[in-house]
Amino acid sequence: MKPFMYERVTDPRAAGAAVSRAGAKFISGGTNLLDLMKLEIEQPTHLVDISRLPLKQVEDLPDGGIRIGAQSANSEVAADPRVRARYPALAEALLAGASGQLRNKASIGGNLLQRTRCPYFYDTAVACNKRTPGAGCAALRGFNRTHAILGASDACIATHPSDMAVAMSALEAQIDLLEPNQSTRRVAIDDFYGLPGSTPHIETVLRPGEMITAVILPPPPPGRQRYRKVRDRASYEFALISVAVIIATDRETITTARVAFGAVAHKPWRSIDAEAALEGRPATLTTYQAAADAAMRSAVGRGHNDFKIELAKRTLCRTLADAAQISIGRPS
Amino acid sequence: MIGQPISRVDGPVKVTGRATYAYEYRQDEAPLYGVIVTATIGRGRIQEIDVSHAERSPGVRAVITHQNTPAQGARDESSPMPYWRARPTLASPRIGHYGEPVALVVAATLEQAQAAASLVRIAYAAEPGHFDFMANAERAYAPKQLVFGLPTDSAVGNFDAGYDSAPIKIDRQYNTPYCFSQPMEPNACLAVPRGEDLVLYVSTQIVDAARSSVASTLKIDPEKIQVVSPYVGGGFGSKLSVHSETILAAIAARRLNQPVKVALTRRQIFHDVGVRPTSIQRIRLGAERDGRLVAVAHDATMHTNPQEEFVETSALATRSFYAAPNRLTRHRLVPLDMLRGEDVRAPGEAPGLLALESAMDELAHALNMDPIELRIRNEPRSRSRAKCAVLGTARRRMPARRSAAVQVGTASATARNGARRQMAYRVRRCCGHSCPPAGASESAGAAGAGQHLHCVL
Repeated sequence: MKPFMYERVTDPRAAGAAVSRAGAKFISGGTNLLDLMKLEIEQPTHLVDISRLPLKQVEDLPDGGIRIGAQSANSEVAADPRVRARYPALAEALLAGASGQLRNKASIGGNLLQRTRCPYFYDTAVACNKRTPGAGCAALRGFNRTHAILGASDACIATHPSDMAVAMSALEAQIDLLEPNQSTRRVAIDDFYGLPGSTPHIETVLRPGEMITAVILPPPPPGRQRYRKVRDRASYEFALISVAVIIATDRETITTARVAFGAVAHKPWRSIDAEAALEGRPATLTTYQAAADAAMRSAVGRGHNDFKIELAKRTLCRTLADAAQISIGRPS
Repeated sequence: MIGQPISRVDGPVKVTGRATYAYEYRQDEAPLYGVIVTATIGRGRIQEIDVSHAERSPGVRAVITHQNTPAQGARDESSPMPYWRARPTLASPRIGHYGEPVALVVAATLEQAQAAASLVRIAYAAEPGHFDFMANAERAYAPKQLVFGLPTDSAVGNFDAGYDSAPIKIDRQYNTPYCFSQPMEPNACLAVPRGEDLVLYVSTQIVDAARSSVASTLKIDPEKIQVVSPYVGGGFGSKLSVHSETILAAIAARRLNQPVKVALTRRQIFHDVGVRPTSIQRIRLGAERDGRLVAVAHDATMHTNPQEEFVETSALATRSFYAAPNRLTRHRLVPLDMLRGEDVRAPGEAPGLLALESAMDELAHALNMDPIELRIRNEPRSRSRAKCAVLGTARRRMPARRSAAVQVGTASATARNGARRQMAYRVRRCCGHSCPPAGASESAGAAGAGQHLHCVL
C-alpha cells in the first residue's frame, strides 16, 4: 500500500473542497477501496472520510417514496421497516450481498460506486483498460466465466458487482449529487452508470469532486417484488446472475412489470424489452420465456460465460413465477 | 479417554486470541520481514531481474533471487513421503507455474518490504504452455506408482467381461474442480539463527517433516534445526509440507544472521501451496437386477505439474469398497503448467468416493431400489474377499447403515427418487460413506474414526 494522508470531514459542504486536491478520493465504509489500495490498484494520496457526515437517515417523502442517506449502512437500510414493507426487493438484494460484517460497514453510496470484481482488474500484472486506459483487456481471451453478456465491448467485459443497485434499477431509484460548488442534481440510476465502450475506466457520470448524498426511491410500483441471486456459493459470493422483478397481475393477466438483471453488464441492466413482453400478457411460463428471450436477444457469450445467457433466462422465469405466485414447474 | 467427550485443550486459547502462532513469535531481537515476489507468467524463464531499485528502497536488508541463493538440495522423488523431501526455492530461473516465487525482499518492517517488493523489475521469456485440463485430457499418462508405493492400477477378475454381461449398467463421468486449502492462519515461518543452529517457528502439521525438508534443502544437519510449532491455525493438508515461506525465511535468516519472518499472503496461498488436482472420474457399474454388483471400474484422471508429480489416490477406495467379482481401477495424469497437486483434506477419498457413491445412487435410481439397501447388498463379506488389507479398515458400516435407513426412511415406499418436491427443490435421496484415508491404521478404523454414513435428503 502506498502512503496516503487521511482527513475526516463533518460538513457535507466541505467535502467537495477537501477532495478537489490532486490524488484525493472519498472513503466511506472502505470495504472495497481499502482492498484495492492494498493491492495498489487504487493509489490515492489523500483520503477524505465522509462516513461521519449526517447523511445516515432514511426519511419518508411526501409522495410516498423514501430518501436514503448515502452514508446509511447497508444493514440498517435492509432492516428498515419501511424498506422491508414497501421495497422488499431492495431489502432482499442488500441481504444477498457480502457478509454481515461488510454490510454493517458498507454505505449505500459506496455500494453504488464499488468497482468490478473482474479478476484481471485485480491482477496488476496483466492488461486492463479500467486500470490503464488503452492497455487492453486480458479477460477477453482469459477465464471469463463471470463476465458480461450484455452491453460489453472489446475494451471491457467486466460486470458491476452490486446486488443493491439491481433492485434500485427496478425501483427506478434516483441519485442525489452534490458538487464542490454546492450545486445539486438528481440522476436516474440507469443514467448514472455508463456502458464500457472504449472508456471502461469511466464508470459513472460523477463529476470531479461530486458526492452522492442520497438515493431517492419513488413510491413503490404496484405488484410483488422479488430479488433472486444465483451464485457459486450460497453466501458471501458475487452473483453469476441476479434478477429483480416487480410484477402486478389482474386475474391472470400481467398489468405492469419491472425487470432488472445483475452480473450481466457493466451496469445494473434494466430490461425494458422484457417488461414490454410481459405487460398485457397472461402470467404463464410461455410469457416468461418470451420475456426472457427478449431480455437476452442481444446477449453475447465470450466462451466460458456462454452459460450465463441460458442461466439468466431461467432465473428470470423462475423469479417471475415466484413473484406472480404461479407454479411453472421446471423451466425448460 | 476413548468415547469420552473431551474439550480441545487448545480451544479456549485459540478462540480467545492467546495462542501464539508462528508469525507472532517475538524474540529479543526485532525480526526482519520477508515479502515474496511471485511470477506473473505461467511458463518460461526469468530473462532479467533488476533488484537495484528494491535494494535502495528504505529499510531493505536483502533481495534474494535465483542469482544469489545458496546451493540447495534436490527434491528426492524416490522418497515415498513427499513431506520430508527438500523443497528448493528460488533455485533456478525456470518458471513452472503462475505465482511461483521469484524473489524475497527482506526489510526492517513489513511495509518497507512490501513497498520494495513492488520495485523488483523482472523480464520474462514466456513460453507456450498447457493450462486447460479438458483440452489436454488426451495427454494423460500412467504414473509409475501412487503414494506409499501403491500400484497405479488394480484389476480383479475381468472387468470388461463382467460389465458386458451385466443386465444393468451405469456409466457416468464426474468432473471435480481444483480445491484449495485456505486455513485461517496462513503458511508462515519465523526463522531465528542461533550460532550454527536454526530455530524455526513454523506452522506445520508434521514437525519432523518440516525439519527434514529444511535440512535437506539447506544442506545442513537436521540436528542443528529446532522446529517450534505448538499451534496450527488450520492446515487441511496444506501444512504437511513446508513451502516457500519456511525455506526462504531460513535462507534469509542464515544470510543476514538475524531473525526473519515470512508469511504467505492469502493470494499466495492460492498460487504456491499445492492444490487438490482437478479431475475427471469415470465410474462404470455393472449389476444384476437385484442390485448385486458384477463389475466396478473407476478411472481417475487428474492434472499434475510436470516438475513435481502428484497423484491423488481417488480410485484407491474403489479397490475394496464394494463386493464385485470384477474390479478395475486406474489413475492417470495430465501434465499441465499449473500449480502442483498436494494433499488437501481427505485426499483421494473426497473426490473418489464422491464419484463412486454418486454412481451407486444412480444405480439405485435405475433399479428403483433403496440406496442403502443397494449398499447392504454389496457389502463385502470378508476382508480377504474385498482385499481390504490395502485400506486396513475394519468395516463397521452395516449397523450404521441399517439405523440410518430407519431414521431417514429411505426404505419407505414413498421415497421414490425425485417423486417428492419440497420448497421448490426436487427431493432426491442420496447417501455415501467415508473411510479413513489410505494408510490409516486399523485401530483407527476399528474405533469407528472416520467411518460415517452420510444421508442427504
